[in-house]
Amino acid sequence: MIRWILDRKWLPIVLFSSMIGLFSSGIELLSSNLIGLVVSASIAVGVFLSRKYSVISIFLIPVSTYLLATLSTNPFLELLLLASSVLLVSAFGSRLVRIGNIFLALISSVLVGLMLGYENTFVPALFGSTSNTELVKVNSLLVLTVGTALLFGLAIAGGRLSLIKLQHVGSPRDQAVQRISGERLRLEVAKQNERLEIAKDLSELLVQRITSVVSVTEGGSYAIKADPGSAERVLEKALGAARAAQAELRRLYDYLNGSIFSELVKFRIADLDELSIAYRELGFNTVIEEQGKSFPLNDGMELCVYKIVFESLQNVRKHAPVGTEISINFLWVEDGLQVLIKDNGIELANRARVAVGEIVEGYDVQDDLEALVSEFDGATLAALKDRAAIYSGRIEATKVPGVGFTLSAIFPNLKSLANER
Amino acid sequence: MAEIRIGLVDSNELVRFGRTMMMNSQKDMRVVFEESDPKVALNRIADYLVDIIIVEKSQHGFAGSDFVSKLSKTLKEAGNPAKILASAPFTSDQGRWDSIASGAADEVGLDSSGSHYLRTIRLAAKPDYVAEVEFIREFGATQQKPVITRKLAESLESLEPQQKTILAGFLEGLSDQENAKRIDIAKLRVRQLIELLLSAGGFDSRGQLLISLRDRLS
Repeated sequence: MIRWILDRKWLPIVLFSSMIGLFSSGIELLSSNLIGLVVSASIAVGVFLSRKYSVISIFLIPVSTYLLATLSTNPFLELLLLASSVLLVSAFGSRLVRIGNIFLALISSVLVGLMLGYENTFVPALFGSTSNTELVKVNSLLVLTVGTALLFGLAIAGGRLSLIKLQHVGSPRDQAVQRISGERLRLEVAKQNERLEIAKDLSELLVQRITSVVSVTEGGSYAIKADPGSAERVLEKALGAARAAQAELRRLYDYLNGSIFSELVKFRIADLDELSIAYRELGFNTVIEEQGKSFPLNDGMELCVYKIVFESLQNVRKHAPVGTEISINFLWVEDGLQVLIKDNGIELANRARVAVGEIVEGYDVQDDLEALVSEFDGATLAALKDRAAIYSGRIEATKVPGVGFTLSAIFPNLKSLANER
Repeated sequence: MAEIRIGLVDSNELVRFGRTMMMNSQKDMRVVFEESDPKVALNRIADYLVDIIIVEKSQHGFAGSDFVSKLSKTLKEAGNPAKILASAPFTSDQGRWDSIASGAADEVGLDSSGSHYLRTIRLAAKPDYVAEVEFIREFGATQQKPVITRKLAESLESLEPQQKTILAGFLEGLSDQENAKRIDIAKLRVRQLIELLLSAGGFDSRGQLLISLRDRLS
């Protein structure tokens, strides 16, 4: 609710204060207490002003307390509704307003104690007593003051904690989004780290090549003075060294300007469990299943598989409605691995359309045919295919008519490759 | 003029080719062997009859200056007096310091001029060569404090006045000849004292001794 109020300007608070006002009015009207509507109006206005004009709202707390103690037939129910105003001010008010809120809530508590406890027989009647001695009055005063203070205290703490949680911890959805975004950043950092490492290696090779050129030409300049006949030999060597340096420079250039490279891995297939939890938080029922006996993969392979699943999940999130079921299957065979990521996004979307009265045509032979022959492509899929090809793998994305999409990644000899490398 | 016999250990064939041409073009230098594999070089080093071995510092399979350090120890154990001159693609004070601390007489960058390269070889090939005292003092100030073994400390304590003068001359950067001449003694006496201190400290080279005694540099 706090997030809802924060996200919109007026609508949520108007609706919420109206709801409080109507509920309070209903209570009063049930008792045929028309004057009690003043109490309802006072509480509703307090709630309405609690976000944007919380200074006014806090001053309405003792006013509403006085009114409910004098005019209402159900003062304790009204008190509960008034606590919502205290809660909202505690969440949205400035520091000064929040201090004022505590102070005025305490005054209101005393007011309730005095008016409903000391001067009223409500509390003794609640416990079946008809006595109206000074002791009973004082006890009633204390009970109601402390009780009201506790109620307001809870409201204040609740309001503040809700906002703090929202700002510093976030909702489960925020956390899931954060986790996925964090994973993406980790992937990017790992990619850049590896890129730097390879660039460093290539630079070292380049330094060696340039050093060779310098050594040959410099040595040659000395040798030619002593033996002019060595010039041809020196020039041949120098040219060869210069060409090798140029080729190395070209490799570095291509590498730094290229987009396909393998990444240094800190990602494991086991990390996917956490990712699937994050997707479940987002409303996608994600299940991971494994069949067969797994075998160890090297870092690059682990990352490759992780990346395929990660991108597939991103794709489902982008195109399928919330509630889509995603299944991730790892089929380990003797020397290979197949990863299947399936979703029922189309089925779910069709069901939603049917639910609102749309006519959804079922799939026909043409759809089946298209599913068999059409290929999906795109930058991400192309990158995944390139990545899989490093490990002799191939990726196919297919549309299952009336159901959803399936991405299949097959690595026929992953185990042998892992052992080789 | 006596010929300086040189060994060259470098995995880069073209660098060896160029440097060999350069050194062989000098009347007082002769490259007598080249080796590309550092492990083979380590196995055969004891048998090489050379004055100086120029080694590429970073060798495959050896971290940092480990190869220089191993080569230096192997030479010492075999009683081979050959000096080590480390070579690196670029000149740097830290690299030079590390090489000297690992047992090399000095380090030369392949980015330095040919004349500097040749001059360094001639200097480093001398039996009593040590790097400039100023470099050891100034760059040493940025490095960790030296640790002197108990045996070396005892040897230093028990030095006679004349030996102290010899040590002072060594720390000033004097050659054995200059040191001996200054107090009018035989050059052999100077060499004996330095050998004694090298042995007491467990050092492989004079550079290491100088580094370890740098706190005493004036």
